[in-house]
Amino acid sequence: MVEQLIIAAIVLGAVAFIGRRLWLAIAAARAPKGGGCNSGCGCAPTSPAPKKSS
Amino acid sequence: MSTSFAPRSGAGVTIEASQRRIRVALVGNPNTGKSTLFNALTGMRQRVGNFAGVTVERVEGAMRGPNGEKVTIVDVPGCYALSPASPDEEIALGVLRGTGGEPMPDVVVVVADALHLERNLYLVSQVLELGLPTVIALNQVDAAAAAGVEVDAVALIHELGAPVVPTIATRGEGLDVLRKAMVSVLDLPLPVRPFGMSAEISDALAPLADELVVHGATPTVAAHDALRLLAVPRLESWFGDARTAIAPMVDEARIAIAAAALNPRSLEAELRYGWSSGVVSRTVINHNAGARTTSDKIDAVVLHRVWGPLLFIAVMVMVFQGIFTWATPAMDAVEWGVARIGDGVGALLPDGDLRGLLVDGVIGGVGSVLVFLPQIAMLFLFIGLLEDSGYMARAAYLMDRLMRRVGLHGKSFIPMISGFACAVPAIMATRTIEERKDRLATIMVVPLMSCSARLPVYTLLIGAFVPPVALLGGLFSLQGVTMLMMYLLGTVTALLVAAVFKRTLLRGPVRPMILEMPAYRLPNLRTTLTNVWHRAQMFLRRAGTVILSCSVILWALATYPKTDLPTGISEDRAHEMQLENSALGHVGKVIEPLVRPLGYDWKIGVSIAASFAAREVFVSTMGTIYGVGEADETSMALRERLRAEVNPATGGLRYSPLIAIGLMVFYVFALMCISTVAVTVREAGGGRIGWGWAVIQFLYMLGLAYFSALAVYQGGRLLGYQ
Repeated sequence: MVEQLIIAAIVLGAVAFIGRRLWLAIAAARAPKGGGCNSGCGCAPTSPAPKKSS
Repeated sequence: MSTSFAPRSGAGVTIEASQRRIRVALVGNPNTGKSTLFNALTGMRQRVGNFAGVTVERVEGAMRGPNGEKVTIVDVPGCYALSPASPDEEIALGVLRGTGGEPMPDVVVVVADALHLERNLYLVSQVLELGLPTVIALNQVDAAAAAGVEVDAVALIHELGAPVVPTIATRGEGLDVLRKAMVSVLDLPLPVRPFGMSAEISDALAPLADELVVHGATPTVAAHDALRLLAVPRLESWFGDARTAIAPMVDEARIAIAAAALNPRSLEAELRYGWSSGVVSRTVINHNAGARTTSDKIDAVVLHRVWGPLLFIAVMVMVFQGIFTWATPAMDAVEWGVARIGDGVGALLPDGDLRGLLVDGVIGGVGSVLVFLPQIAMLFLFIGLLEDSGYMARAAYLMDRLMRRVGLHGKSFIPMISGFACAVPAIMATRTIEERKDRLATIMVVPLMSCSARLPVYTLLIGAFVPPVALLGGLFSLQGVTMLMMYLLGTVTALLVAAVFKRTLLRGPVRPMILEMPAYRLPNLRTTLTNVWHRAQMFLRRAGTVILSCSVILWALATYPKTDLPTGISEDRAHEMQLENSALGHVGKVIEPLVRPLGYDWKIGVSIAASFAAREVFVSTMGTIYGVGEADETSMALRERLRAEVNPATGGLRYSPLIAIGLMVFYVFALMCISTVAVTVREAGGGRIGWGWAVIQFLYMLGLAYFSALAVYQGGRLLGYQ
């Protein structure tokens, strides 16, 4: 029973994740042109880790 | 330590330096090293390349100033002048002029290429006229010195009336001075137009400048625009409703200029180039004037009418041969590692569905895609080396004649080549193309270029069904050549489809291409390897998210509902029955009639259907399907399974080279990427128009894929192949 619950949770999590990605992709189609490479393709050209320099 | 100083805008007000926020716009001609400088200043990893048009959108980064100031740097696409001709230039100018909701920058850093200073000074003079605190980053002084060009930076400061900082962005040299200059320039007098104009020109432009001031422009910007607008065919959208009042004034100014026996359309160019030519004569010493540079000598071969195309083909053959052959040992190692992990996890867990989920679903699915990481890394290594060396721009030049023949602009070649990596940034790269119809035609065909997501599909099928026969005395192998053929098939079809679009829906004139040839240089190994690592990370992230999730879902569909199996049947038969009666099996049986004419069974059918989420999911789905209910204890490579799969109906092998080739052809043409559809909608204009083009793109590619695969399979059978 516990095993089945764990499996169900993992599968539901996967379904939710794919659903969200699909939604993001559709939302990206509606974004303004300057919106950039954020349509869930994994191609975002930048790293979000700026180096602090002085 | 923090210091206090009085900013210009708030006399008498002191702000602690560490609290001060400064917004810096990084502008310059294309391929001057802006993004390299941006990366060096901010520590970000914005894509860079040794050709024009790499940056097509604005990107913000942060850094600290010398006194702890919070500096926001905005990297923008390159532009040659402050009159936008293409969407990427519009983005650049929006940042610089503070239009479209952008705040005005506090400081402008113009990145100028030291080797081509005269041309770069055109934009410099325009930016100076905007009256914003401006710093000139004289970049690539090392390349200039290597070419015998020496720039007197101090003399240049006096000519421009603005700070000039020599930099070598690739090596991080001059950056500390540049950081200081970005802040200290705020305390210097604002720059002004660096050249004078005759009284008759000034008088002719004065009413127009006054009109622009009435509509909200500052006197400096109005003076700049008054001269610039003489050559602009249509007033830019940022003038808004004021266009109706300004347009007649522009016409009057043109008439007044013409009355002074001057050409209003070319006046700005003549004034600026006249000035920049004088500045260069006073500040630049060219020790090798007139001599052929190393790049010229290399270009004599690379751009030769005969040798150039042959060399291009040889480079492409070497790239795909390298991807297939040189990555094989690493691929075998990853494959071995994945199999051992699967065996290890399987041995640790008790028999049951959770074990099945982890071993068959997660490791079987994700692992079957992960083994192609070395090929992906190799592909991006080659692309990086070709881009950074300067060869990519030459390839665009070589392809220009062919592109024009099909009706495409030569500039389309760079987005198309970028499509080998990923169609999404490649479609965004079409922003560099001025003409809307050329841009749309390019967007429509870019997804035909085989992106890196297709690589695992090709590699799996070629590895399983194409024998490693040596060609040309072992120089090439049939496997590498087959992969090249798949890439060529996509490229040639893209050109043919573009020709159809340009002669039907997107009919329009073909414009000549003006392409700047960057100097050849040794690829920067750090930049190239960083890019490869970045791409490998993306691939791993994708494997750990989308592919993992799809594998879990497909495992569940392939496992449930459970079937009551009759006793006494073999394990292989039990596996087959369970699969056929699972939810996935039922879906597969619905799809099967559609794919049966292509030679595919229901397993390939559901794998194709699942790969609409991402192309690599085809491989992970096959990995999951062949992992579920696995009969033996030892994991076996997916390609070996496919090769050995028996058709229970005939007793013969289920898959053949003919089916594999048909399947690869299907993947060459099919648009199975939601992200590409989304970016096509956006870049094709958004709304109904954007969706319309995206639907056309999706349907023509799907039709092309289906009927080509059908022709391969049925044609092959008619010729006697199985």
